[in-house]
Amino acid sequence: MAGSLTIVGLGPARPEHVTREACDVLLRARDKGHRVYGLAHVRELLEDVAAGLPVRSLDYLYELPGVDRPTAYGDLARMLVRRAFTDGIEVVYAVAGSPLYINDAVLLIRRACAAAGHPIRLVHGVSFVDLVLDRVYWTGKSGLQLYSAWNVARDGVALATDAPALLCQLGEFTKGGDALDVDGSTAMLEELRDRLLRTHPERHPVVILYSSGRPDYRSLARQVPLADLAAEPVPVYANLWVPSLAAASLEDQVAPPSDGRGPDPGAA
Amino acid sequence: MIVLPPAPFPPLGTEAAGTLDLGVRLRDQLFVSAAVGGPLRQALAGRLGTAVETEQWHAAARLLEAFLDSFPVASLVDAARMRWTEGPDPQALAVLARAGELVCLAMDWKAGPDGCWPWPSDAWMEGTVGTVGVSAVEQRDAQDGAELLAVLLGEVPVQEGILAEVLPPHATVSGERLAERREELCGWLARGELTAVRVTGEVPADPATLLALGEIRLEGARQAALERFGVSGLRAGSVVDWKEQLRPQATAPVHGPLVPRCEATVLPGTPSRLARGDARPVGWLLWNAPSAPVAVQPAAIAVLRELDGERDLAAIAAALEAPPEAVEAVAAELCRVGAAGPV
Repeated sequence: MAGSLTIVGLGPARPEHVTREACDVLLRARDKGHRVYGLAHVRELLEDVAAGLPVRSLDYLYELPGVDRPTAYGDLARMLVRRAFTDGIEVVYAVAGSPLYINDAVLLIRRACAAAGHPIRLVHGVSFVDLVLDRVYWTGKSGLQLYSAWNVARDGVALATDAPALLCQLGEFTKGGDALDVDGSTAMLEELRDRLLRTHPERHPVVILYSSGRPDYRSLARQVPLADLAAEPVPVYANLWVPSLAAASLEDQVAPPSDGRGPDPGAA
Repeated sequence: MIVLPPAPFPPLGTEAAGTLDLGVRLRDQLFVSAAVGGPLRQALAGRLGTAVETEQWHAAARLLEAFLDSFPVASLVDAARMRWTEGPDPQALAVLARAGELVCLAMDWKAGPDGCWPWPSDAWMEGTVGTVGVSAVEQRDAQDGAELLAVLLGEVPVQEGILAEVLPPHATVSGERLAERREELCGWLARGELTAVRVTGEVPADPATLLALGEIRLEGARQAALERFGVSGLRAGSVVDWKEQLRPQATAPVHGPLVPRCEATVLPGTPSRLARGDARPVGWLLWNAPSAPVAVQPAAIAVLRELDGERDLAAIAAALEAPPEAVEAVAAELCRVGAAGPV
C-alpha cells in the first residue's frame, strides 16, 4: 500500500525562518489533503505559512496520566510510521526547529523506517543552535560540545574543558520533560552548576542564552559567573554557553544582538 | 403499547403510531422555551439559593451559570428543537445539549446510560407512561437504557428494535479491547472507513489503553461528537460551542427618557467568583434573546430599574440621591450594551 512520511522542520519560531522547501511541502499537503500532525507550538506557525491547513494535534500525548515523554515519543513514532506505511496515507509531521536536533520522536521514526526499509523525507529547518550562537563568538577552532543540560547535570556526562559547550533545555527539570513551571528550574541549575564546578572555576563566565518569545523572538543573553548560575530561574528552552578553559578568547565574550535593533535590556 | 426509552436523545422526528416515545415526550416537554424560561429557570434559582446558603460553592457556581444561560438558551431552544427534529444539525444539537445540562441541574436528574443526556427520574417516566398498558420496551441502541426502563415499568419484556436512521460507519468496542485492536481501528478511522469508535464498559487506565484512545480521538472524524453527544453526535458529525450563536445587543442612543431593554437582577457573584466562595452581589443584565448575560455593578441595576421612559436622568439621579454625572455615565454604558434605550 502506497503512502509517505515527510518530516518538516519549521525553524525556531518566526515564519521568516521557515524554508521555501518547507512551505512548498505544507502548501502541497494542504492542496492534496495530506494528513498533517504537529504539537501545539507548531500550529500557529503552520497557520502563518499555510493558512487553513488542518493539523492533527498531538498535544494529548503530553496529557496522558502515567505516560512519560519517552513513552509518548516512542508511541508517536510508531503511530506515524504505521499511518504512512501500513495505512497507506500521505503523512506530514511538522516539528519545531530542525528535525535533527534534540528530537527523540524524529530519531525514533528515522530508525524505525531504516529498519523496515521505508523511505522518509526530511525537510530541514533552521535549528535553535543558529539562533543562540548569534549571541556568542564561536570560532570553531576547538570544536563544540552539544548536550542537553540534563546529560551533564544528571546523566554524568563530563564536559571537556578545552572546548566550548552549548547545553540546551536548561530549564528542563523532570526526566519526562514535563517542566512547565520555570521556578522548578533552579534545582536543575544548582545540580548543573555543581557538576560544572568540578571542572570549571567559580568565576568562569557562562552565558545563558534564551529568547524573548512572541512576537519578536529576540536572542537574549545573560552572562554570569558559573557560581551564580542558579541565582534565577530560566525558561525551559534556555541554553547555556560554557566557554573553554583556554586562555581568555573571543569565545568568552557576549556578542550584541544581530537583528539590527541594538542592545537588549537584559544584556550583561 | 410499545414504550421507547428516552435515549438516544434527542430523537429525530415525531412519535410513531402505537408507541410512546419517552425521548420525544422529554424533548417536547422540557426542551422548549416556555419550560427553560419558566419552571426550569425558577428551579435553578431556588437551587442556587440553597447552594449559596449551604456554602456548596462549586454547585452554586454551576447553578448560577445555568441560571444565566437559561435566558439565551430559552431564546434558542425552540428553533434548535425544530431544526433537530427535521435532521441532524450540529448548531441545534449544541443548544439542545446545553438545555439538557440545565434540565439535569434544575430537575436534579443524572445523565443517562450514554453519559450525555438527561435520564429522567422514575417519577417523571412513570408519570409520563401513566396508566397505558405497556406490552414491551423497545431497545434500539446498546446504551439506550431499555433494560432499566423495563424494570421500572414492572419487568415488561424488552424487544429489539432498530433506529430509524442509518448512522455513519462506526465500530463498538469494549474499553478492555481498545489496546489490542488499536492498529486495526485506527487504520479504518484514518482511511475514512469508520468515523468513530464507540467505547463500551470501563476503560482501563493503563498507558497502552490511554494511548490507543488518544489515537482513536486523533483520527476519528466524528469521535469528538460521539463522545460529547452520544449517538446524536455521531449523526451531527461535529462539536460546536452553542455560545457561537450568541450576538451582542445593538447599541442604543442616549436620547431623551430611557427605558430598560433587558431584564436585570442582582445575584451572588459571578460563576468564577462563586466557585471561590466569593458571593458578593453582582448585577446581571439578561436578555430574552441570544445574547450573553452582562455583569455590572449592582448600582447599574438600580439605575436601570429607575428608567421609566418619563423622567430624565437628572430626576433619576435625584431619586437615587446619586451624582448626576455618575448616573449619566451608567446610563450611557447601559445604552452602549443595549440594556437601555429611548422610548
